[in-house]
Amino acid sequence: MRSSLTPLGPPVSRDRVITSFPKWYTPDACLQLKERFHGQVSTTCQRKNTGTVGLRHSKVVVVGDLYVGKTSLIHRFCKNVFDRDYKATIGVDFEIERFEIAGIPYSLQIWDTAGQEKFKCIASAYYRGAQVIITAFDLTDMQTLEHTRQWLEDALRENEPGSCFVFLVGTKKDLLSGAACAQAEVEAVRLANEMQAEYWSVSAKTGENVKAFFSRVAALAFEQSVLQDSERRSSARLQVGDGDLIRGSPPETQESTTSSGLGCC
Amino acid sequence: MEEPPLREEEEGEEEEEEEEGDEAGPEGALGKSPFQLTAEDVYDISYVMGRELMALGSDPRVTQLQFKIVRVLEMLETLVNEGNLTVEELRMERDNLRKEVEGLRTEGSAAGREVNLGPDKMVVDLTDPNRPRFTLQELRDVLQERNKLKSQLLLVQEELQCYKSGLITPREGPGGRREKDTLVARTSKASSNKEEKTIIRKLMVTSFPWYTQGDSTAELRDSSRPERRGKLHNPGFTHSASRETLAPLMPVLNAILAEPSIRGS
Repeated sequence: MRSSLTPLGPPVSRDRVITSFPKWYTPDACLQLKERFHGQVSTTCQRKNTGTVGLRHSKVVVVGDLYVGKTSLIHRFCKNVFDRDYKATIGVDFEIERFEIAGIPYSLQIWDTAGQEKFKCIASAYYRGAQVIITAFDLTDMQTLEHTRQWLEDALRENEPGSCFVFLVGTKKDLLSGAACAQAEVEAVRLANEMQAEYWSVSAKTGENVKAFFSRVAALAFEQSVLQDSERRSSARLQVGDGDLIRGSPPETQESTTSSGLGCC
Repeated sequence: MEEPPLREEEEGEEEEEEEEGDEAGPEGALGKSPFQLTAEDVYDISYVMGRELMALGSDPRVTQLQFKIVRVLEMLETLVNEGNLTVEELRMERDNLRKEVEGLRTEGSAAGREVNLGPDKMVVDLTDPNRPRFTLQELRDVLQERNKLKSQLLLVQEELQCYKSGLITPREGPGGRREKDTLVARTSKASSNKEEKTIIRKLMVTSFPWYTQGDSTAELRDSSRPERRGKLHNPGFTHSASRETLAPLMPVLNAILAEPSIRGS
């Protein structure tokens, strides 16, 4: 049975394979500074002991003002295209992106929401159950940065407190000079810290940082899913004692093993 | 009260011209208010003045003065004509506006009764092809339908990919094998005895159990319950290899079909 878990679905494209933990954009506003997978996660993945429904995908919700480039960002990542023309998103849309992280298939279900006020009542119905909230703003329009507070508040309201990773993403990086961008980032990093969010500057037009950003999102979500799943199963094991589950050392001691090699490829 | 201006007589106006009009009139014109003068009055005045100038004899100084007086009278004539014309135009415009206002007033009082039903009401022009006409619920339904179709498309694309890359051969395609899992017994029953089904149809039956059912909405609602969903499509345990191949997307897609959570807005 275990072997049947390994080859799942058509192969994931090469640039969706994540073997080492993707790095943050700036250490001044990041969710974690580690540069490798959590020890327990590596061990679990090596043993291919992740075969439960819970960790196979994460829901990502992208919010922010209209015309900041939420759809462009998603399309750049999922389809590698950039459309110069603006087309307002009607209500919501979604994309599914498949990854292979530490040898385990994993999908991001990315929900693209409309920025227009009139669609808020529709889009907000899709906020629930998000593991990742991405609040996007336009680096050339600082008003949109200010509005991310409200967007985040709305998205968090639909979710369990503390259950979501929050990212603050400045878009249209290509439109700013290095100095102007750095200046905008100072403000953004400050707000990101206030929001307990990780900050990224990206450009959907040039593609700068887009893949790195989503890889980071996927890896963080994946790691959290694995850890939560192990936790759930270890508590189930205590009650039921299913012989099929690992009988190794408890999670706490496994964390100390600094195995960076994932042994999956 | 006033006579229309007589422009056609301007040409032949000479101081020598003898007016054969009413005897009492000519003198009376000099006593009128300047705002009520007509061209006719100007002619009367010129008649009176001409007569008096003639009485002064043929002194060359009188002749000189006569030319100047003629010129002044001509100017006066022009001004009076012009003034009367303007007055006439303004009067007509005023009458038109009066009529218009009256029309609007009666119309407005009729429409006003509907509009003033309450605050936050909107009047819709039924002849406008771009008028709002669909309800929020209809838009929600359309979006959900779109999401469902998109997720099905993704699944089919995934499946096609599997065939292309040789991960599944048509003989052991979904539904072709006997399912051991009792939880999906209905699915396999539906598909096993109908060999003529297309691959895509088989796929739909496998992935979306409600596909063959009459009441699709009931199934959809039912399968959106997380605990049921988990069991139904938990891909990691007893399914055949072909189900395994489809596994990565299924929970993701099922989650999408369960969106959005029903809630009042």
